[in-house]
Amino acid sequence: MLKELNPLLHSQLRLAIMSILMNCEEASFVYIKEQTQASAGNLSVQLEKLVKAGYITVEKKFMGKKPLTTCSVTESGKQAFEEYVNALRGYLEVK
Amino acid sequence: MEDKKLNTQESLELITSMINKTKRQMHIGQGNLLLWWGYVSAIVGLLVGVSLFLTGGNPACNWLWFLIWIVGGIGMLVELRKDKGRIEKEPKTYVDRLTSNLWLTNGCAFAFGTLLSIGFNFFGKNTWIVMLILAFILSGFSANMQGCIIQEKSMKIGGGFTLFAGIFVMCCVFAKVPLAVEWVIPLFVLCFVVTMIIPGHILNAKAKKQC
Repeated sequence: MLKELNPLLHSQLRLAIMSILMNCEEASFVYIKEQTQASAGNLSVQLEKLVKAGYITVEKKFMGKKPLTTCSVTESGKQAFEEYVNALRGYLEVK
Repeated sequence: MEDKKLNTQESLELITSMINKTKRQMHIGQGNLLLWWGYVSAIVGLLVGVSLFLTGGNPACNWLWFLIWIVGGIGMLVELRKDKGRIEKEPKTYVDRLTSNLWLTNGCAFAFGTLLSIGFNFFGKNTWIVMLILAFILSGFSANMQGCIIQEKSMKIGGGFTLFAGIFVMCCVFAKVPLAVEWVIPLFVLCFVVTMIIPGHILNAKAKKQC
């Protein structure tokens, strides 16, 4: 039986965020916004959902006088992403 | 990009495209720090060599080695300041963390060696040679490791050469073979040329080509 795809990751923007963070250790809000071409408001909402699920952590700090928001994926986020990719593979093999 | 649902094919395509976008890109001036430390070390090495030669081996000339810390430190601060803007625009990767920790450990170990040398010299024990050996071994090892991490052949070879040169100098010290200025200083300069200056220029040229 095919595994159900994690609904939290099975959305365009959240999946894009997770894919970026899986490929690096830490990325800034500005960088993620540029890569996903999402609006700041929408991106904040989706990041908040991922934070609530425990998949990512968001850190707000200062770089000199400028605020800098950085995101990184957690261990449970990595696990959820791997499970999601494995489930996707299952779907594609059936097809 | 929006919060829309995807089919399986679209999901895979999205993951692939994001991974490709975040692949580590080189940036202009990638080798600047290496060049800065390399040139400063090589020039100061030459300066010490000439001073020792002209003064008939006056140990006080060894204080000139501290110019590496002063000038190199200033240059590093300038480069890091320039780099600040990149932090927001580029993701931080495991490779970044690994290489910065590697050079931080190198710097701390060398600073500790320097402080110990100053301490011993303060009590009349000449231990300047420790700093020379550390400079060879630490910079050679770190450059070789960074070369392995970023897959830069010139750094692997240059670092390896300097590491072996350091072990050779150390053996000479233990075997009480005199470290003549005529060969130690040229070896020191050569090591920094192959460990930092050549790889620094190669990295900058590669980054220029890629950007």
